[in-house]
Amino acid sequence: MKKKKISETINNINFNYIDEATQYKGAIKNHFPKIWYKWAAVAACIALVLAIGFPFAKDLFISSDYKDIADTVMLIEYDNAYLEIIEEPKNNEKFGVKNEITEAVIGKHLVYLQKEFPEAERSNYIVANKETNIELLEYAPAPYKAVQIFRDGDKYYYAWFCNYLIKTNESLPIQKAFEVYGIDDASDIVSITPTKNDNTWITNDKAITDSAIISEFYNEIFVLTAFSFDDYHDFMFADELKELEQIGNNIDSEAYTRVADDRKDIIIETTDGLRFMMHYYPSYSWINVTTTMSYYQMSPEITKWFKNNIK
Amino acid sequence: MDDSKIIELFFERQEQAIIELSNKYGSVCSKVAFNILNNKQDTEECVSDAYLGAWNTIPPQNPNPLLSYVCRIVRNLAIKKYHANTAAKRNSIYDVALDELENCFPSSVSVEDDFNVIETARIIDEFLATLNQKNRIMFVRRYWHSDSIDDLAKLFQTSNHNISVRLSRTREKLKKYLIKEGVSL
Repeated sequence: MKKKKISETINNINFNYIDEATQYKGAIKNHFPKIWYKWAAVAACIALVLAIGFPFAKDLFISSDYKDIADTVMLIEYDNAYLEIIEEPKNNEKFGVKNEITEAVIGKHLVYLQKEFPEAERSNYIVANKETNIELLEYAPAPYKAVQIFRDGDKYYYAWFCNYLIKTNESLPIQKAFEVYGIDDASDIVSITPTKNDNTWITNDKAITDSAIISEFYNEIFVLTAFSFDDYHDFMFADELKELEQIGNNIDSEAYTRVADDRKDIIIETTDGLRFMMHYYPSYSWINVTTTMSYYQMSPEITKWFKNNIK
Repeated sequence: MDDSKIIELFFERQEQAIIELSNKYGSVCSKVAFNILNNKQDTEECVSDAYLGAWNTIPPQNPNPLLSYVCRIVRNLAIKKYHANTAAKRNSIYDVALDELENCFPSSVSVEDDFNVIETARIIDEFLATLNQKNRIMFVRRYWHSDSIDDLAKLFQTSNHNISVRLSRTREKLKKYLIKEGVSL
């Protein structure tokens, strides 16, 4: 009787919540390529709540059980990086490009592509060694790596830069992330906006547009040392995980959640209108940029900048 | 096919509407039903009945989004079928999820008749509004959709353990919230 009443009660919860959960398409598209797959078990927690932005293992990618409720993303492997094909038009605005792909935004041809698994309905794309009916083109208004145009027959989609393909023991300087978005110096950034840390890209404070403050941010962040995922992970978790293991606690528990709860996000917008996200962990003094798959230890200066300029 | 096109077919009374609905959302509907019934045959019957339910209610209904609407029909029918066959040993995810949730509701035998489903659902709505989106979705998917822990771990790209811990914390919070609001069952 008690269970029946509980069941009836749950059946009567607000339809909006049911809708929200039914429409949910999964955590942010964090995709683990094969080279990082060994880390998946250890880093699963981080991948969820830190929203690092790793690409899916390709094998998982085409064999999802969630096809109807959450179509898996389709990636393009090109120029030592992953690009995500943006099928949901509303995501385009988030990244700073217009929904409609018109002739005016279609730039020059970059490369012909083919499905990695031709028999799959949904598959990753790789570079083809001959002319095909699938190609990658430049985005004419901002011809950087950040956004490109994917054509499959007569269908056009934006393809958004996910991350460079590096190993977990490698790192890239933060300049490489800025390059992707066409940022050569501070004047290429028009705003820095704090957002909620739930990957909704919803702002929770006013945008910083003062050029002097932006310049200070750029100059300080530009000199930070890059750390690989492995180094970062050892630095942050190795001791604690060892202790947890010794006392029999599951290693994927508290440590990751604690750090994840500390995460804060900012969105950087360029003069071309492109946007990308950066995560930082104020209590632990780390910055994570998914574009480079690298971590940057915060200096006292950049820590001060965040403290002074973001609530 | 777009949801709006499928609904147009319903409005035009074309049976193709059912085929398109099934093609697009059949597997999701089956999953919702199977999570509750743990039986393939019952699931198929339930989903077929749900399609009929959609056919009979659209029009006049013009649901947006269509998926949530159909899922709700499926769930209602599946629960009806579940209760109609309590003798069967189910062991479905729905059973397990209900077991988990049962402990959130403080017991008070004498006031059982006073338990108001609608009022309690409203209190749970208020509680859900206090959660962050991730925890809220996880809660609804577990206890409304009856998703398994495995499914949730895949959906949220995390470990089973992490899901269990998060759900357990949310249930603990719910229990406190229900006590504060004076709900007992």
